[in-house]
Amino acid sequence: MSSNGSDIVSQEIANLDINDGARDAFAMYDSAPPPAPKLKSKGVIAMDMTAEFANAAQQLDVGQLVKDPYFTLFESVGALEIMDRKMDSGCLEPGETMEDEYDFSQSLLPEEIIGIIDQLLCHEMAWHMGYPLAQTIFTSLYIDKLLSPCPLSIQQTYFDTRHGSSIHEPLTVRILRAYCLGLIKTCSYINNRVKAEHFYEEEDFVTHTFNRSLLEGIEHDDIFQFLEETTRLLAISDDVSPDVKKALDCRLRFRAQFLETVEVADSSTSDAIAQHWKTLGEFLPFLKSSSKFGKPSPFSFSVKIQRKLASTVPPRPIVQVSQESSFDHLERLCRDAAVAVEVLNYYNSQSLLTFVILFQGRKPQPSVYVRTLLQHYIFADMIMLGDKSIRHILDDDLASTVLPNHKLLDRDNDDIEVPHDLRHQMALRMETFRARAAGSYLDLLRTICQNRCRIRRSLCHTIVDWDTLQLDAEELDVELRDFTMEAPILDQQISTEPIYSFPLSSWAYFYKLKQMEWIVQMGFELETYQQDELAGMYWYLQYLVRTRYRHLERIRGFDVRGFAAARKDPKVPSNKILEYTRAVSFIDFSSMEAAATYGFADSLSSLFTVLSRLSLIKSPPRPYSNDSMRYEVRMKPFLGIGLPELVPFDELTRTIMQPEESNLDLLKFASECAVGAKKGFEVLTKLSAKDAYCQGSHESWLNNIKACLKACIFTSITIASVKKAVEVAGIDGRPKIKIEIPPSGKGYHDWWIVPKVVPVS
Amino acid sequence: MAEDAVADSKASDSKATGLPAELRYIQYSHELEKQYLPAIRALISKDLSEPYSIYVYRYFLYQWGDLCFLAIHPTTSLLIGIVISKLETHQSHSPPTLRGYIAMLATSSAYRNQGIATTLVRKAIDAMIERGADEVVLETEESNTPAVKLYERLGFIRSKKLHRYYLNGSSAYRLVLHLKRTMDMSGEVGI
Repeated sequence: MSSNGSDIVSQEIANLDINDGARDAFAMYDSAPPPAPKLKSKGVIAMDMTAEFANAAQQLDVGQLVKDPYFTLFESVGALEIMDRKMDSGCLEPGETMEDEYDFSQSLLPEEIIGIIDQLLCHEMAWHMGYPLAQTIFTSLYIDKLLSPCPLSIQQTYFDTRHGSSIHEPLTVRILRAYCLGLIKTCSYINNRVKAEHFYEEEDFVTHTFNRSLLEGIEHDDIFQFLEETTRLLAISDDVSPDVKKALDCRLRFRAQFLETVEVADSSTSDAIAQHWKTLGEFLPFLKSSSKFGKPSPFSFSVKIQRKLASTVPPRPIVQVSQESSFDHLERLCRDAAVAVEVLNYYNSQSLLTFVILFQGRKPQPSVYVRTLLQHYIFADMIMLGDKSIRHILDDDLASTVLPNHKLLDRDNDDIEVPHDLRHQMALRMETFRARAAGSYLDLLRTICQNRCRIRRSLCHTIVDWDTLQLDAEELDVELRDFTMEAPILDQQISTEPIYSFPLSSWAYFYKLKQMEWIVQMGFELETYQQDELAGMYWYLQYLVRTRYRHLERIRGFDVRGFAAARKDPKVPSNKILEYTRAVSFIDFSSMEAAATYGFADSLSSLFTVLSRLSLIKSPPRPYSNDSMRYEVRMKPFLGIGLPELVPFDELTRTIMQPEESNLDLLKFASECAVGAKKGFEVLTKLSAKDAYCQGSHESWLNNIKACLKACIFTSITIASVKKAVEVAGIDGRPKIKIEIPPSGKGYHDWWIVPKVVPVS
Repeated sequence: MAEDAVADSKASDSKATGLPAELRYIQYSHELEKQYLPAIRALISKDLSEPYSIYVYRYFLYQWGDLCFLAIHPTTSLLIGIVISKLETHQSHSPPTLRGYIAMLATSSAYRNQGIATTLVRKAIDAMIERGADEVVLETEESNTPAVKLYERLGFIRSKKLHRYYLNGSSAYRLVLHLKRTMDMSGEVGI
């Protein structure tokens, strides 16, 4: 099908002919047959197969199709049709030339330099937004000239390559060249950073450089100095009007700052990173206001350059991103990147997770480059946050949930080498657990760094691993009892069996439940559910959160028991006692958050049930489907989960529809739940950063809780309106209202879809 | 995924049930290539920034012509609508299923809102059911509300959102319709 190699060869041949002036599409066609290929591979003998081919072709009828079994959809999509202008990059319009005839020796007005630079900034941001270089920065003829052939020193980067021209390069052109050098070098840092982390090529970002080097051969310092020197030359020149001179100066210094910032941003220790981003952001207001001095230079950009780039896809149109949206993007990038680096201030594992979740939840989501920087800071070189081991974080997390001041986490156990020593056995099994759990735990952090759609998709895939992790951990928990000599709780009121703590599997279960909740909640955010699914999905959310709440109660019971014992033991030092208070305080916090969440979910579930009973939410006819088969599609990620068991469809339907309850009873219940949830959110808003486990991101956390609170208050209002309408209508009457459901991003909180009541006459 | 690369659904709304009675719906077969393939390509690629090569069309039409249906104007015999699909055993993360895939759907703009696209999709699904399909999937642009509605009215649900799925940077929804209970899915062609 499409053979990239031969495309390039034929284009090169075509390029040679360019001066003859192409008048029609066949102008480049060489009537002489091409020479026989020179095959040098051992054992391959070239032969003329024309006669055999012609003979074989005669066996077919005209129009008969033959399909090779190895010809897949992938190949068919990659195939190109020669002579179709949209696919064939060599197909020329009458009078069209293969390449642009751009005169690099022409002088440019300073205003045109501003215009080109500003257009390049738009292209740079378009690249950040996810478009390929080929449709953005690489459409600039100046950039093309700079990168091809690949320069190895600044001396080799003159645009005008005529003999002697280097001596007479006008200052304006030099400014453009310096800016372009800085731009490409900046892109090089960014491209390498993105490539080094987890991201989705084409979906998030295109790292493809079309076989061009992004000035990897020229030193950072050389380019930086060249920019500074050019800035100095501009300062002493008097050919340019003051306004334009100021605008050019700002652009050069902005570029130098951007270049320096992306270089510094790669380090995960520098305290200066945030300041660099802030300084960069400070250039933007003047960049923006001085863009009016620019004069567009559309002829210095061309869609045709793509013909020269190594690519398997046909040329695509130049991406047009407005100046306004590119400035917006850059402004956000600076702001987000300055915040991302704060992740390096480690408080505790829970605050870390909260930070990452809230950072990724910013609207709009931080750009791919910033998200890969965040990954870099968290995971670079398998060292967490620049100076911590994975074990450090994992043990912190275990200590603050299921194993406060526990001998299983005692580092001294590692030093015991006597095989029958209990401590050696504990260390051995804990190492097995860490080896097993670390991957899942780190994957979770990395998953949250992806785009919103991918977060949900990845969680749907990996949730089953957490189910297995829980089972594996359960086996280890049982084995470990022989070494920890854990005394079970014996309480006939709860169970006739002795109750053990199962710390490791409890930990895995806690995180599994959290992730199942996120899967459901992100479904709301991504508008995955139809309106008549909302009652069921909010019911499922409360089911998961309630399960977590009960699980937290269980963990708390064991932590409190250990706490009580430790307080009586004079040998336990005070810092170890503190571990218990920390763990209990985290569990109390998580329980509080869970209670508010399930209350709110309960309320919405009941509300949506009433709305569908009143036919204010309608279900489509769905001739090819039924409720239970759709339930299977919806619950597919959870089908393989052992605990909590998937609620069977019939049971779920009964629970949601609650046929024995009247509409007014259901609304009363919904209203009470909303009131309870509101109280819960109000208490949460008063927590300190430390108590809410959001150190480092308290402001974002508070905004998030306040948004939940607002959504909750609005729900109460809706419930009251529906109730009033139902009462007015009487038992058999139709309430005179209709329901509007705001699209994602238009409500108070994307995870809480609150319907709005509108009266109808 | 290669399958993903062809995804496109341009569908019409079908509020009206009263179809033009005289409209002809025909199943594709190879003899129709010469008469209708250029029109099919023109209709599908109308709203695409980059066209599919002829091989993409032939890939589907050659192997699953019986799952492709044309809506034809009764007097002029011009093409009004087209649905192109395939049916294969699919296996990735879960047990194999016999999965139908609606690759392309289009109705000529002058004939929209008459339920033609719905009829075409129903014919494709019916043909898939006849061949024992376990499920049908497709992708559609997030902003293409008429298409999403069309499929949801038939019983599809949005299973996931695909970020920046199309070349123009817009996102898509994967829509899924189970035709059997999961436990009854065999992944094989039925009798």
